[in-house]
Amino acid sequence: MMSEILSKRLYIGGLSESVSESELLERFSRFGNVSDVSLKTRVDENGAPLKSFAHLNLQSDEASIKKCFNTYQNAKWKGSVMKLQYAKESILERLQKEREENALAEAKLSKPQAEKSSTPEIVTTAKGVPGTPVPGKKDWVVGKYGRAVPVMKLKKSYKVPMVKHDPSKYCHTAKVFKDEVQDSTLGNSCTKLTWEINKPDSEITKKRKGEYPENSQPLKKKTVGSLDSGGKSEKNSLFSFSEDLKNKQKAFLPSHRDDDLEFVKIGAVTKRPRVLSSADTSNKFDSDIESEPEAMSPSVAKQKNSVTGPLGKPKTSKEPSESGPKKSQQIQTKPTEPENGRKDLSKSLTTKQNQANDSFSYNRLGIPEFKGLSMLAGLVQPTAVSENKGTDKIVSTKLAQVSTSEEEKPKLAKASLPNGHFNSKLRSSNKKSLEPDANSFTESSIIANRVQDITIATPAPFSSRGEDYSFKTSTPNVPSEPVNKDTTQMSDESKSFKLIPEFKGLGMLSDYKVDDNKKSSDLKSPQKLESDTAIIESVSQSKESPLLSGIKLQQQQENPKTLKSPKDIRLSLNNKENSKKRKVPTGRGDQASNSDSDSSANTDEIIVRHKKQKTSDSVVLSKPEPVVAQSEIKSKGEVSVDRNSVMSEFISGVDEFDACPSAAPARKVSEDDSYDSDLDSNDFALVAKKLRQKAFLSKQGGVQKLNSNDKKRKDSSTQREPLSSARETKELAKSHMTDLQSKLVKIAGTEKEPTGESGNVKQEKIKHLSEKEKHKAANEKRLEAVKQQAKQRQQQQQLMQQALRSVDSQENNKKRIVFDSSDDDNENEDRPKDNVPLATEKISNPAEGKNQEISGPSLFASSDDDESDEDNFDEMFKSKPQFEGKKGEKLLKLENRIADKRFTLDAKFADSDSDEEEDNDKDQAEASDASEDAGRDTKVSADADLTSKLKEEKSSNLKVLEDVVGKSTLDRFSDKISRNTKKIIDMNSVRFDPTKMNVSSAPPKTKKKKEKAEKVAAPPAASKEQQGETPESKDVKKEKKKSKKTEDGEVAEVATPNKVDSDEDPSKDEAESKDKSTKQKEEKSVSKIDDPDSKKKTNVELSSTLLDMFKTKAEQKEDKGATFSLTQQFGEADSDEDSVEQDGEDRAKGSGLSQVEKDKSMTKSAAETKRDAVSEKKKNEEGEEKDAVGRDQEMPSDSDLSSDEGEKEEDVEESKKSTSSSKVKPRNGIDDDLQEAGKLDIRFTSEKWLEQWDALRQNIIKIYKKKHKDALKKKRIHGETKRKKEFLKNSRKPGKKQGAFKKR
Amino acid sequence: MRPLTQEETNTFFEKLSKYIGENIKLLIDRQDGSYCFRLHKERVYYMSEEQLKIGSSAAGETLLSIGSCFGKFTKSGKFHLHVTALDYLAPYAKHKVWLKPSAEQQFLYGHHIMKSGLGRLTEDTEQYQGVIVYNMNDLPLGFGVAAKSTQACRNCDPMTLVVFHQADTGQYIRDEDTLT
Repeated sequence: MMSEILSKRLYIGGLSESVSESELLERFSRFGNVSDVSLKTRVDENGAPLKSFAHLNLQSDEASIKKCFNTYQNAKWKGSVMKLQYAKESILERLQKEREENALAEAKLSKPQAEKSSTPEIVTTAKGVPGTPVPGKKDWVVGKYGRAVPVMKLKKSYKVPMVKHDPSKYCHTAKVFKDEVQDSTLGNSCTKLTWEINKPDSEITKKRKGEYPENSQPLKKKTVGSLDSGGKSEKNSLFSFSEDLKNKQKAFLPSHRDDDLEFVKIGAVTKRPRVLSSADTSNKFDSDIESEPEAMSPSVAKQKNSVTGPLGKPKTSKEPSESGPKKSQQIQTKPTEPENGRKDLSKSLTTKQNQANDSFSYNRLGIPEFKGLSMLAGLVQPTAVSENKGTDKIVSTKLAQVSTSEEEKPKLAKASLPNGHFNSKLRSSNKKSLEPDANSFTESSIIANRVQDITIATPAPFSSRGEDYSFKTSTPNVPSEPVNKDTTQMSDESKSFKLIPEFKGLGMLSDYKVDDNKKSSDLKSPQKLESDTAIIESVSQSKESPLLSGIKLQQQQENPKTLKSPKDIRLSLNNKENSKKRKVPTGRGDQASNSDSDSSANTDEIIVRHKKQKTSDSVVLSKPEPVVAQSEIKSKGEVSVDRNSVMSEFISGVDEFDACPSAAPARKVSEDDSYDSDLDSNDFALVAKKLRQKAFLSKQGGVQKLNSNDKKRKDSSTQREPLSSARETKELAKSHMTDLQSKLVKIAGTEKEPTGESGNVKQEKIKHLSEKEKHKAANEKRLEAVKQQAKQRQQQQQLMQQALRSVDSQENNKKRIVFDSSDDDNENEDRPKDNVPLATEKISNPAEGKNQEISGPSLFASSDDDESDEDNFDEMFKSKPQFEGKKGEKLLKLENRIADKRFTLDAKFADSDSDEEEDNDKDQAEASDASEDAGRDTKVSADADLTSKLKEEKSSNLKVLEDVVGKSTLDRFSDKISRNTKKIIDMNSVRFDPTKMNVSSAPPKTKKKKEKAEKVAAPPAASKEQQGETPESKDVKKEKKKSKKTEDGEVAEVATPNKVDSDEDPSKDEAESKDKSTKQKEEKSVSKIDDPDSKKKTNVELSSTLLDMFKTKAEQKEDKGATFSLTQQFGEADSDEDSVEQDGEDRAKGSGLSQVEKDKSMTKSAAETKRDAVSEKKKNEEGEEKDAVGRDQEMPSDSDLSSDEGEKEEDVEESKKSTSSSKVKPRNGIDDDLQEAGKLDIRFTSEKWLEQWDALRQNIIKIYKKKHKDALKKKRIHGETKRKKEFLKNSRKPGKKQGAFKKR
Repeated sequence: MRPLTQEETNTFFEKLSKYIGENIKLLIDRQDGSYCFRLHKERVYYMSEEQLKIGSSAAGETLLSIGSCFGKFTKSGKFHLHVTALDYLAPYAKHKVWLKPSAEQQFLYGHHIMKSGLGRLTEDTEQYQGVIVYNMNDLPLGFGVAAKSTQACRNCDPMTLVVFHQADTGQYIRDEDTLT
């Protein structure tokens, strides 16, 4: 029992209130050591103790404690049952205990830490597999690298209370930074960690900026993607920033489209202010995008050019693309290199060409290549090809391609033509091709080399010229021409010669003339050895031609070049565009000498012509003369030959000059005699001299004619038939013709063939001449006939018109069909009285039937029948006429027997009774009239009703509108409308309405406008029919006046020259005659004359004053009768003007002033009209006389009439001109008065006027000044108003409605 | 064919005034003649007096159309404008919308107008204001109702509808059989 002492805290409950601590102590002390007794009593609200309990510590052994429990448990003490329990330790004790424990724990904790640091665990655990727990410690595991890592327990959320985080499981993701790497990353600045993509156009950047290609992806996707990318930033960044980002991402489309959107003020439609809704950056971006491709495109184009330039050409010319760059190199380097290019070409060509030709062609073709200029290549190639006589179609196709390639260049459009020629030439040459010799090959190769040498130099000038393609194209033609000739002519030598001109041509361009000459001379020597004299001749000539051109070129003339070359081409090509009287077909003339001689002949001929007459054609070509001389001098050995040839050529030229096919004879001569031409040429020379003399003599007379003849022949030479030439030579004198014929005959004598030909030609010519005349006559006749026909037609038309008019008028007066709305049965009641609708009466009255047919209401005849029957009710019971008499009885019987309605016998079988009809008609007419009236009344009333109804409706509508829109706005609006009425005219509704003829009812214009309109063009209606004769006379006077006004001299001119201007009658008569002869014209003139003179009041005043002044004088003058009184004129004129004024303003009314003036002039005009009539008669006679004279003068034919008329018209027009010229002035307004004064001035050239002048002058000056002032004022006012308007426009804000109106 | 009743005119004018405002007065009170609105087969026609006279002679059933049709009354009593009224609305239009060429076709096929298709726009256009739609060459294409005010248009997304389509000239082809 005593073995173990326990200290237990006991709870003792159920104690009575009276128990004290000492008592407790006393009682429990028997079981052990009692200490720390605490007694507590529970007290109720009143303070009476309810319960009490105690705690105490008991120190004793277990047995005594048990004893204690046994004895006191449920024992009664002082009236209450005790309860014993073990209790927790007292708070104080526990606290103390805790503190002690804490201290102890601290001591413990510090102990293991110290242990760790001192003895590294790592070592111990290093061998462990990662994840294995550290043996000594809880929640510690071995990490990846053998370290002990604590397992962490985290409280994450409500659902999962604890999460265990084992670092050993995640340690694989950890990254170990080695020392060096760390250093590098740390050493670099942070800015290097971020980067930008500089490319502005990369797709990514675009997308980042929010721009997507329109059709690339659906929009939703994009937005999502962009959002995703921006999601993080959104979270991190400030709110505003994120919003911006959002906007950007969402509004990628608007960012560049927004700026397109414009907001227009309501009023300002025209100004269209631009309101940019989005940032400028997007705008800039746009511009960048736009500008970049622009910038790109040229560069790309350049690249393309640079690529295609060299490559495109070769393609077309079938050259390998590699040669492109090579060429350029070759140009700079050496002539030996081009072999590469040649080889390339050779590959393409080898299959289809002979070997000899091949090598040759390679050389030749190499040259153009080597030149490197595609242009040149294209042009020289043909020449080279032409040398290869055996060339195939491929070559031709090549050429074609070249030509096409050249055509591609707009500048070289001309070049294509010659190429075409080339092609044709080449084909012909191919046909006639001769077999190439071995010599040709060698020679050609040598020459080719030389050409190469030259060509090395040539590119430079070519390139320098750059744009002179046309020139270049023309130049190669020159060389090619002789080439062709030669090819056609001879085999070996020709080739060498071809080349000479060729490089002369090139030399000309590069100014290598001297070298060329040398070379040509060099070449000559070997050729001389081989060839005949003839060939030499040809050589020299061939040399000449290029020289000529070369010298020309030196003289820096491109024109002769171009002129020459085509000429030559034509020569070689014959016919087609054979302008220079060339009728030599190369097909026939196979000889180069011939062709050359032809060309030289041409020049000679031109020279001759130039000597004789310096025509424009020959001016350019005349220059070769000295050149020829030069060439002659150069080729000393062949001078004579040259001359001979020249002579022969001259002859031929002369022959040609005479428009004979002498070219053919000349050619033939040369052919026949081949190349022992000395004799022949001498002969020719003699003949030529003769001819020259003769020609000179003959031509001196008809040089001009010949010239014209030549020219014409030139034109016609394209058609070789004599027909055309004959047509043009119609004017040639016959003597001339004979001369020419004789000449020709002479030539024919010397020559062999041509006589027959020429004779034939001549005959043909003559024939054609006659034919021509015939043709002409026929043509004239035809024209006449046509004119007559036209006249007849006109007359017929007029007749028809008249007839129709009369008919129309009748019908209009009498017949009218009105479909009355009131009558539903479509009764046609309004028939003319004389027109009887009865069908029974139709045939009996044929005339009426006709009328009916014309009038056309027979449509409703049947219905009318019924009606008429009703009307003639009485008649029903009358015995019908057909049944009267014996016959009638029979008829009746018959009818009754048949009893078929179809066979009833009607009025057709009996005569009609006209009286009854008439009666009927009358009745009908009356009835119809009545009904019509009634209908009209109803119509009118209905109309009135309708309009009134409409008005009501409108007012009601307006009321409704007021409700809808608001009264105030509507009022404002209506005010505005009233102000801007003119502006608001619905153009949709402005149409010509034929039902409304009152055009004048258009909104009244301002006075200014009116005046203007009058000035600009008085309506033709304004030239109203003035009463009787007076208008004409007035017009006449007016015209006369004006013509006088212009100038006396002119008037004199217009008038017959023998009459004096002071004499007024003749001029007037003349004018009148004009008027009479052409009435229509006159009317026009009336309108013309009248229209501008819309008088202002001032004018009227002036005229009135003047009138007063001259009245008296006029009265004096009136006695003289025949003489024309000024006042009359003047008064008349005034009245005329006034009438015009009336026209302009109102026809019906006459302005008071004008009326007064008219009254004044009335007295005179009355007398005047008589005189006028007389004078008109006179004038008519005169006119007729004139006409007669005209007829006499002209050819007597019907056409003359028309021509005469034409003359008259001209006259009239002249007068009009004069009038119009005078008219121009009065339009100026201010000058009007001066004009007035001028009128007076002219009219009063006599002394009387001079007397009056001073008085008048003041008046005029005053008026003038006033006008001037007015005009100035007007100007100022106008300017001011304009400015005001503008200001208002600018200052006015939206101006909503106005804009809408302006638009309209 | 009869004139519009008070009620009808009211609704009709209210509708019209959305597009041309007080300019209706110019239609009613014209200087170049008297014009009127007539109801025929629930459709409102605008015609001149002359036309009215001529048309009045035709029987009601047989008359297909007279003058130019402005629109029709629906069964519920509302008024619908037709394209045929465009000729009269366009010159008096108060609020306009100009379409970009790219959006023209869309509109003429009967689609609404998105902001991306908007070239220009009259300022101060309110929401649900009637607007006339033009192309950039000022050719009237049709009309509709502004879905957004001008201010709202400024800030809105390009794909948002700005104008509701009501009628366009494409209807002359599409609705050939029903247009009168």
